Amino acid sequence: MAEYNNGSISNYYASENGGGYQYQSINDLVNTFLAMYVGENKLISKASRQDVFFFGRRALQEMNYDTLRSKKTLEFELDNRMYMIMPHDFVGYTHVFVSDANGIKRPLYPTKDTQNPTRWKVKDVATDERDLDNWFETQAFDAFAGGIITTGLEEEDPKTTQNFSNSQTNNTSNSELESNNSFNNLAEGQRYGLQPSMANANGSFYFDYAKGRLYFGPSLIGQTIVLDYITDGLADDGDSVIHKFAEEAWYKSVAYAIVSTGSNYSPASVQMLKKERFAEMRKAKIRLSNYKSQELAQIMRNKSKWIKH
Amino acid sequence: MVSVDTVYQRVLALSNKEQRGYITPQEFNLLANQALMGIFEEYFHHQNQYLRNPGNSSASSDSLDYIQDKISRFHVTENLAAFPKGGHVLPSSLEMYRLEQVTMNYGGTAAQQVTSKQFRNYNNGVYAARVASDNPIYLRESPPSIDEGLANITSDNFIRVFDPNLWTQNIFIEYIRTPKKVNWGYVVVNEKALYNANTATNFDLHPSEETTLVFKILELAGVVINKTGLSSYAKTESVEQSNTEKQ
Repeated sequence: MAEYNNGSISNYYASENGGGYQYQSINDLVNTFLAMYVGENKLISKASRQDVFFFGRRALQEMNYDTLRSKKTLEFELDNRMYMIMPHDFVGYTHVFVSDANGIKRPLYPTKDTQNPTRWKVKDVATDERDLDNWFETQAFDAFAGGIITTGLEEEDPKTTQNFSNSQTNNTSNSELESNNSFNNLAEGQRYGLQPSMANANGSFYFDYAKGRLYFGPSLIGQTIVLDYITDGLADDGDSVIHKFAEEAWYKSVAYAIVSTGSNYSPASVQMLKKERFAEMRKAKIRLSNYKSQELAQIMRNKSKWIKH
Repeated sequence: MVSVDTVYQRVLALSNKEQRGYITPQEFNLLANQALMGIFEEYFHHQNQYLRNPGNSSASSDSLDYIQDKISRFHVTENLAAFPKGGHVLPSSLEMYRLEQVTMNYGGTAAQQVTSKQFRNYNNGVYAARVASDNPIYLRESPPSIDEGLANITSDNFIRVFDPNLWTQNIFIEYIRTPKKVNWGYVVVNEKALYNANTATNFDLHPSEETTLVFKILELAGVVINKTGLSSYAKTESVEQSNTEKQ
């Protein structure tokens, strides 16, 4: 993947996907690690390939969480169900946007004011004694609520979600949730000023982690949603790559993992590798953060504007 | 390669055949093979010892390079056809001394030998610990008699590659072959054994082993002809040589 010769350069430009030169595959890295870091007269005299693979995959996972670029993204149209199944390789999200008519991404913010609770189908115990017997026999679960008892493990749509779905479905610019009329007009800044978490007219979302769904506010039905998310790099073969900026950090992570879990290494070696891993990981993170002084200067010029009252 | 006739003549000369006793060709052949295998097996232990030393970067005097050069002449790469369910029959123990590596293609990734317990643990673990096609593993075992297609295999040198995606694939093995059996070939003329190069097999060892071979055979010959002085002399010489090499 990573190297090109004169013959393959033309193939590269003829192909649809580019940029592979940035990356090293985990398989290549494992082979290189075994060749360069393991052997006689080296710190690690012996390591099984399976161990290196495992620690290498773990290092890849950890780096995907907070060091490597988040490059996974998914676009979809929100339908009437108002939720989207999480992507198959989803581990955590970084951003959720609604894409407007001009293709500009407008940020959505998570709401804590609703959820998708589990709701079981219920019956009145008084009207059907057999249900109660059945309940004790099967020991479904214990949930009394004012004479109402659950009769089985059959689910139905929760009221909370239904009500949230039905709230001002036709209003896309000023839905209940976003403008928050029901919260004493806090959004209008009458008493304590605007709540920043509510100061967003684009829309809201929340995750139902139990069912693996991403729910949205009703104002977003029919809109184009973009989800930027994090994976662990192991779901698809093509994902198991490490950016070259993080290559050294990967080697040090694997070396540290092997030495710290081995029995015949000196504590000094473990500490040395721990520090090296930390330093390399920080270096990789800085490099991958991609700060450019010129771009930063352009943003900071904003400071010189007059703020008018 | 070390000439078997040269070694035999030296052994006879040193044993002072007229005074101490004559070592017959049959005895020599027996003792020669014993000495050959003894020296050969020691290579691996020497290598282990040298691996622990820092070594040097000289072209011809690094002990590790030296011993690896001696071993490498026994290195063989072979392509093996696939039997059902990832089974492969290795060369017999008479031919293969030590299995070094198993690869799925020539020069490719080396498969790792595991025990069945390790394999179970890997595959019941989290995804990151599982065995993948690009990280192949194999188990060395006897052919399972109940498995279809493997029941008729009688070889005791059998391995099984685990990943079903690799089951039908030929594999490459790298192994250390067993040294050829040495034989001082002869014809009897006038009741005397005369060397016959056509039926002889030389020592399948590095030329530097000539002296070691002579001392080793003498040491054994001293026991056969009941001359402890001969054994002691050969033993002393052998130890002295070894000490010089390892200092």
